[in-house]
Amino acid sequence: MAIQLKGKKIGMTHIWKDDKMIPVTVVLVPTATVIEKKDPKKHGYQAIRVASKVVDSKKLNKPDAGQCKNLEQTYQWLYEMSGIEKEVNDKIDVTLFAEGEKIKLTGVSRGMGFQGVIKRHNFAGGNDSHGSMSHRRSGSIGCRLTPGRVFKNRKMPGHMGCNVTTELGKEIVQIIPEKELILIKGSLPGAKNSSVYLKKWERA
Amino acid sequence: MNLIDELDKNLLRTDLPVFDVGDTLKVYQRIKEGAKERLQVFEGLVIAKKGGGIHENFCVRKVSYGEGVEKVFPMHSPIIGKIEIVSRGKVRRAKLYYIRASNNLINKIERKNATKKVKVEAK
Repeated sequence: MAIQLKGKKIGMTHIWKDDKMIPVTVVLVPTATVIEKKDPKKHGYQAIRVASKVVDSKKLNKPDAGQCKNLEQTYQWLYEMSGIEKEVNDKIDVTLFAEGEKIKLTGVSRGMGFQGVIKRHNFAGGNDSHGSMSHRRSGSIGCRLTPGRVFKNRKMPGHMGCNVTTELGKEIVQIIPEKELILIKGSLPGAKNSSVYLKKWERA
Repeated sequence: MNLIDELDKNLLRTDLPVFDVGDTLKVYQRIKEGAKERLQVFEGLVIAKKGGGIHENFCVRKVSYGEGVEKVFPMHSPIIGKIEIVSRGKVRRAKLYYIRASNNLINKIERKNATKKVKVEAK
């Protein structure tokens, strides 16, 4: 756990800075409200529990609705962070970060479905012509009687994407507090409308 | 209107004239030299416009000392000081890449006087 805020990836555009075109990804980061403090004695660890993204109570599933029962509003995003001192009902908004700051960002990459070895593992593939019959095949996957089995971690076709992906050193170009937006330089993992975690990046 | 369009709207330039492919332009580009800043003119024919919204750009071609030169400008870039329309052209293509074949072809575009035909209006 880290000092983090959850956001929604809106899409990409570009802005101008010092006459230079900078590609940015727009992330909507709703202000989080502290709803609970986790105590080392009671819960076994120290953290704060926050909630953001106000939604209609009908949209919540039962576990989330249970957590929002004693709150004034109903929230869709409930998550925790540690390493920050806050009291219950405190707000944490986009000003947690500063312009020019480099952050750590975690999202879930786009799902590609079941893919072959060329797309999934950058294999070269076979010859397209001369009767090769091995156009996009992986080729041999092992030897014969010795060792008589296929080694583990052999690169093969399979499901690709949908991985939890963390990228380091993402630069915050601009923060727009009134619209709860953060513009981050370059691309981010995941599709549009997918959620990402913006984390404080402490370099050792 | 979605959030990205809203952001882009503030960055769009409305002070530049509306022009089209086939027009001849004078593009005044801001050049920084140390602390000083000056405008450099690039005069030529618009041979292509690409992209939409804030990502729109246009390509200007001229023949300089017998050598064809092209520059691609982002339409809404702050680097453009101003744009003057020298003349309007009558063309039947959206992209005039065919004029690259010969330096002469750039002179064969039918041109009309800009000041008579078209008012310079804000976008």
